[in-house]
Amino acid sequence: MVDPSQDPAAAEHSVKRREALARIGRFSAYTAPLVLGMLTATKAVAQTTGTPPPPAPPPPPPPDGCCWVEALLASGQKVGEALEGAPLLMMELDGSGIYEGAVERTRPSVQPCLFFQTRSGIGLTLSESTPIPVHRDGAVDYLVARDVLTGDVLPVQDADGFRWESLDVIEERGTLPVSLLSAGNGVYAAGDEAGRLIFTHNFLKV
Amino acid sequence: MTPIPFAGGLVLFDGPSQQLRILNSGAAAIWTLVDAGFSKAEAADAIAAHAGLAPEEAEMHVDVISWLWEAPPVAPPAAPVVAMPPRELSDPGPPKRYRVGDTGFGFSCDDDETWLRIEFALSDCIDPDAEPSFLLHVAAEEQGEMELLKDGTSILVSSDSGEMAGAIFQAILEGVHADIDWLGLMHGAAVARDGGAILIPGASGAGKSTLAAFLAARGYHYLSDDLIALRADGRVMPWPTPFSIKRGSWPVLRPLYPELDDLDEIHLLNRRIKFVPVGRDPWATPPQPVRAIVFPDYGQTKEPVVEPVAPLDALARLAGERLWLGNPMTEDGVRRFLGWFETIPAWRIAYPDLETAERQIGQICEGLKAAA
Repeated sequence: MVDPSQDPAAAEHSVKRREALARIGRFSAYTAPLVLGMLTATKAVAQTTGTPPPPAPPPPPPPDGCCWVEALLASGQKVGEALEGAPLLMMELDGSGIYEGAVERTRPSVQPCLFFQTRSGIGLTLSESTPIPVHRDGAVDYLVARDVLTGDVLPVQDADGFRWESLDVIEERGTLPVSLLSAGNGVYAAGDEAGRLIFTHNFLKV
Repeated sequence: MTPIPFAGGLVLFDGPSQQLRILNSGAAAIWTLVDAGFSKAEAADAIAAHAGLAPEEAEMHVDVISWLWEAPPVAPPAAPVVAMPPRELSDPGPPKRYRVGDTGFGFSCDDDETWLRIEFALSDCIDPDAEPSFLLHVAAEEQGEMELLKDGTSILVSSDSGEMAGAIFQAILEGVHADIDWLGLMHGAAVARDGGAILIPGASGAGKSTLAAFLAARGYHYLSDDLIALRADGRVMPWPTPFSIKRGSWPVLRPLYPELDDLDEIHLLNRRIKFVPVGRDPWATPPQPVRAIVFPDYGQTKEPVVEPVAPLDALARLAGERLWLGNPMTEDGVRRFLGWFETIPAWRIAYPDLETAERQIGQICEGLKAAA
């Protein structure tokens, strides 16, 4: 053990740690950690109308599941801006826990979309074909979004942490640009609002 | 990473990658500890003691959040803006002339979609007699890329006509108000009442243009439909381009804007839009101090709600949309914006119809006036 009183570097290290402990007391009351948003200097400010132009529709689109490009990942990054290596908050397939992952591949698409909103107001716009984990009869089942019903119980993450919550609202949103994010055979979190996320499965058939 | 405490959380500014990350209180605490040299296990112990969490829960919090800043930058760093020497333009055609205030400028464009956007947005400013102080040109490049040039100097290369339109607006603003120090620009609408501006930022389709058009017809001063330009003193510079009204809002706005029936329908990005001219008068509105930010949340079946939005959440909403704090972003610029932003109250309003929204915003204004 180094005696800080004999070692200036250790003393400085010790002071820095004490100051850090003092600083955390000055943040708001502790809530489950979230990156609420991210900003890059390159973003254009105005669009004059609507979202960026959707990418050219791929020839006959396979029924892959994916989220709206404007939805946000746990990192605060937009789904449509995520590149290979971008961090993802993921859920074990059996719903037993969450872990970190990363985008392996991406592919843009344009697909009919739905808007899901759970009981506490957590919302996500996603394609009709997105596989969704649903808690039924004590087990996790996977349904495509168009087959999910209000009252089904979905995995969500927000400032109160990870939990399962019933789906209250399903609305049609028309055809929208979406991005397929592949992270192995995994389930990742995204939401229309920063830090308020729903977990969906991702398949990438290329 | 430079940590900037903000509203009970933390904003991390990374100059090299030109990124800001907005952390809530939990993430801020964990980042602070890890940055001070705590191992993950030590940080988890400290978090457990600080927040009264079970050790395994604190460990999970540290694990889940720390990988986010351990991960490599999620987007490639912005390409630096390199001042290119002026060059000869490849026959851009005669620029159309415009005037904003006392400043004239010319604009020409090789790309049809970008041209369509700008032509309608600037339709109230056409002035064939204007003496151009600067010339903007969008040149079509290879593989769908476009290049924006100001007096022959490259400003932006992009294949996104939305991004290009934003850059054109920024270039015009900076050209028209050459001496202004900008606090920031954001995507959203703005109106003013009683000498103060209400900012209405929001994602496309959130209803901000329809709400701004409605409020303007009900006596509010119209400042902007799409781009909020903030001066260093926190005042909004008017950018009153025509209202871009999407098809779903035509019926509800027709009684207030009967000219909607006679306007051409424009097809942009799979949307049917009518641009409602507003004339030249709003361009002369003096800069307005910002009183409040209102995030609109329209839905036919929504229960009316007016609820305050904490500064940290309001900032996250803006960052998730479009916010420009300079290019390059600097620590000073970020600190200045955050210092201003923390003083501006924000609300979310949920409303099933525009009359309700007007009433809600009226209540907010009255409350602010009473508090003042």
